[in-house]
Amino acid sequence: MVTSWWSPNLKSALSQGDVLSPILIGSSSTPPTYLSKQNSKGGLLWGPTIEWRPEGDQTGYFLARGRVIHGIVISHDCEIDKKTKRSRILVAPISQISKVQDETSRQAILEQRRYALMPLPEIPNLGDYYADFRLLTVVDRTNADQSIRLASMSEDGVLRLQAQLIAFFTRRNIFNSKLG
Amino acid sequence: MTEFENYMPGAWQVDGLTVGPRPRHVSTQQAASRKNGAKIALSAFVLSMSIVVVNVLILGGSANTIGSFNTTSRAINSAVSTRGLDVPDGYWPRLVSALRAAPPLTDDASANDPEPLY
Repeated sequence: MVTSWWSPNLKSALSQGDVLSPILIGSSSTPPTYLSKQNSKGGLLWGPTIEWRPEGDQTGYFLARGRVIHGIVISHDCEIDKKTKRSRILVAPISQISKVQDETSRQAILEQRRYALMPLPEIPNLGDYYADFRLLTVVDRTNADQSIRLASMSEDGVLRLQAQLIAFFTRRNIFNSKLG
Repeated sequence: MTEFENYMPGAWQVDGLTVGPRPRHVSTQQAASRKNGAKIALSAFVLSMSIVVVNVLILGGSANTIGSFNTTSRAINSAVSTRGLDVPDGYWPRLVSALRAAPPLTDDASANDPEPLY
């Protein structure tokens, strides 16, 4: 019997289902605005450029708009364990369920009737939240490691998270199918 | 083949695919010659793939195309599995079959859903 979605203690290392804070999530601005370093006596200055000017590794900078918020780790532990120079962690932002103004919508999330919006009840020291899978995004591993881990999911909680991901991405009723 | 060799399964790295041919400096003449060679190689590749696809369709029938394609790609799967990746043989076609057999869930779209957070 599932007693809690949350582990009484943080797991030993960053894991799927961990709640992180803060995380920076966002998307490129509209219209896209490229940035480049510009000379300034006052220090580092970024300015808009018309052309995309990537650096040697083909990456560069552009303006993004987003939020600094709590997030839940979506990446599987097997991916998280593979640390490389460019490690990224897939996360979903989470928000307080009480901020959902519409009563019908809030109830639908709490009753687990939404594929994209997963309820996260009673996160230790936070309260009732929901995860928004419409905004799945990546954060740099270094930034993720520098975030505070607020909670870890229990094994049952992780399975529930994985179940939600299956429903969100496939929209299939696998109970009428023979898996395996 | 030099343009394609970095994409072959044998060139796959344990921690990911090679992302493209390594940059090399070539003279204009060499580049032109290589361009023609690439065209020939591409034509041969397309022709050989067409033959494979036709064989697959003839042997497997259109109703079982994915299963038949899996047979033709077994060599690639074998090359991958020897490099320590952990997808069991037959995993993808079985999963695809299971998903195909699973009826779609009802649409839960609601106009009342909260807007995305940004």
